[in-house]
This record gives sequence, structure tokens and C-alpha cells, in this order.
Amino acid sequence: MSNFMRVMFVLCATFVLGMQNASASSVSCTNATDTQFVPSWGRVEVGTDQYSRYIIQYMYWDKIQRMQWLGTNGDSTFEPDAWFYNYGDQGGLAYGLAPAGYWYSDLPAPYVDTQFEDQFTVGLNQYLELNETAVTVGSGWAVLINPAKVYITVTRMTSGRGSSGWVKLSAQRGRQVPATCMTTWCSFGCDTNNNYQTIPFADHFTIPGCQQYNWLWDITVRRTC
Amino acid sequence: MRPAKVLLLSLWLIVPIVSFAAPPVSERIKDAEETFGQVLKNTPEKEIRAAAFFTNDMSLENVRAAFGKSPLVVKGFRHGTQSYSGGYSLKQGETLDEAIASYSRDHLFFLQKRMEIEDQALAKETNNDLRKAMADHRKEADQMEADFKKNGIRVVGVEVAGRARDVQDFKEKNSFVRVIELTERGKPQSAIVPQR
Repeated sequence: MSNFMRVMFVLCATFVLGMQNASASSVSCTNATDTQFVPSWGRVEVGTDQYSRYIIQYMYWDKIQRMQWLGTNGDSTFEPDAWFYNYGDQGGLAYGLAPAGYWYSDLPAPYVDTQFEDQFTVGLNQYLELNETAVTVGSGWAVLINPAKVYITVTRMTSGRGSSGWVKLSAQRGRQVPATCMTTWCSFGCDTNNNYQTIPFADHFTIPGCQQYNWLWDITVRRTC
Repeated sequence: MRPAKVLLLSLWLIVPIVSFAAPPVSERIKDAEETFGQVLKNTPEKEIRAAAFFTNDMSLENVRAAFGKSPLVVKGFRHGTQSYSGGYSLKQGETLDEAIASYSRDHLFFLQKRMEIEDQALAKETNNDLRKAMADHRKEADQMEADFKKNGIRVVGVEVAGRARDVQDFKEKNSFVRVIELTERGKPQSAIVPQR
């Protein structure tokens, strides 16, 4: 086999294996540590006005090494997920259910992620049955995220039954499958070391409110804004 | 290996590495056209959800007018530039006029909210690098506000529901439509933003 054919075979095999993995809920990725994709700093503000509830997230990677995995994988994706505590039997009712209405972000190729196929026609009961409800604006093209730059995501959301509640943030790395597809349906979480909770439920961060974190940026610390 | 082969292999290995420096919009458009083309050919009566992305950005009012007689149902709007992107998804039962009013109101509300948050952060932040990055971000918000005051929301695409053949008909009658992309179960996906 010529060298050319050998390279072709390896790349085709990689693509096929990648597609096989993508049929599950995760995809194989090259190894990474948390300090190669989790933001150095982040901030979340959850609030309400006369129209609806909303969530605003900020994130910042202080230097290129902190986003090494995102920056060296051309098909990388990134999701700063916000999860609302909805363990009703343990006294918690979700403050937010799903993105709805206005949204924007300056993350590269942003998309809205929800747990159901259509956030506006799905029955309310389906959300109420979940123990955690996610509201996410992700980046479908995370290789273009820059270090030393602040990014923002904003979205309004539908209200859960709680007038207050807890929220956790998690930073998730993933890949586009197939590459160049930038919808939420093509963004798969990595199968290992994919997800770190930058603000865990255990903190009992109560919303509406504002919290910020440093993730192994000097230290790991969380505090009110 | 012959020199021609070496050159071919080198190019083949180098091009993908270089190409992810910029999103391959042309590739995505080609994929979108092929996928929608297949649906149109095989099942023209099928009810679909799709995004129509534009050649140039447009005012909300002009987009509203373009859908005046169309049988398509507008599900959402998309706005953005090369540096940010977003949109507005219509709520159940919300009319187009109500959505347009809410969209403009929210765009300004969240811009002002962002400025307020970033001004507070700048006053409190002690890390110089983060302060500088936040100050740059705050300046971008000023620019976004100036753009909004001058031009309003500039729409780069709409999300619609309807029969595949009606979506194609809308594209054929409106030369500002650059590409139709299926939205895969209706979730807002990253926009194809007009090149400036």
C-alpha cells in the first residue's frame, strides 16, 4: 500500500469511527484536562422582568493554554450549560425550563440548545418531570474562541414552578459530527473528561441572583457578584 | 513517491488544517442546498422547518412585508454580524407584529442590561487582564447600541414552517434569500451571516 493510500485509509477509518460514536449521545475525543477548555473565569446572572425570566452568562479564558483543546481541534464545540434544580420530591422546583424568545451570543457560531425538539410545542409536563432542566447557548465552532476576550450569552426562558431555586453551571466540550455542521444536533459531548461543574448545586447558589467563579485561575473560588 | 504525489498529499493534509481558521460557509451552503433539494424533489408536500438566510441584512419591517402573502409561518428571526449573532423565537400564539415589537424591545433591554453589568464589573474587578478584556467588551456594546439606534435590528434570516414547495416558492420570489437550510426539529442554529 502506498503512503498516500495508507493516509487515506487512516483518515477514512477515523471518520467512520467518529460517525459510529456519534450515533450515541457522546463522541470520542482526544484527551484533555479541565484546564484546556474550562473558562478561567465566568459569571452568571439569573433574573426576571415583567416579560419573562432570563439568564446572562459571561466567560473568559485568560490565555491560549487554557483553551488548548478547543483551539487545536478544528471541529470542537463548547456548551456553557445552565441547569435548573427541579427535584420536586426534595423541595426544589425549577426556576427556568427552556429558552424562549430573545437570545444572542458573541461565541463563534452560537446556537440554542434545548432538551426537546421544539421548546414551544412540547407539553409543560415533560419539563416538570425532569429533575434538571437545561438552558444553553452553545458555540458550534469553538476553535474560533479567542483567549483574553470576554464572551457573553443571553437568553430569555420559560418559567418553572419555583419562584426561586438553585442553578448549576457546567462547561462541556464536544465535537461537530459531521464536521462543518454547526447545529445543536451535530454537537456531541466528548465521551471522557467532557464536563466540569463550575458552579455545582452543592453550592446552593440561589436565584434570582448573580454568582461568579474562577476555575483553577490562581485558585478555584466562587462568590457573589 | 513521485513529486506530484508528494505535492498532492501535502496540499491534502495542509488544506484542512488551514481551512478551520474560517468557517467553510460555502461548504455549509452547498450541503444545505443539497439536503433541501432532496426533500423538495422527493417530498414537496412535506411540512418542514427551515431557516432562510439572506444575501444582505434587512430591516424587520421589510422582512415583515415580504411575508405578507406567503403561506409560510414565521417561527423566528435571526440577526447578527461576523462578531455576534442571535435571534427571536416566536412564542405559541404570538403574532408577527407582537414578536417584532418584543424583539426590538428585548434587543435594547439586554444591551442596556449588559452595559450595566459590565460597568459594575469594571468598577469591582481587580485583575488587570480581565478588566482590559471586559473594557473591550463594553466598547463593543457601545457599538452595538449605536448600530441599533442608527439602523434598528438588521435581520439576516428567518425560521419558517410550511410545505417544502412553498418554502422553495418563497425563495424563488425573493432574490434576497441566499439559502434554505433545514432546521432539524426547529432549534435555532448558528446563522449564515452575510459577508461584508
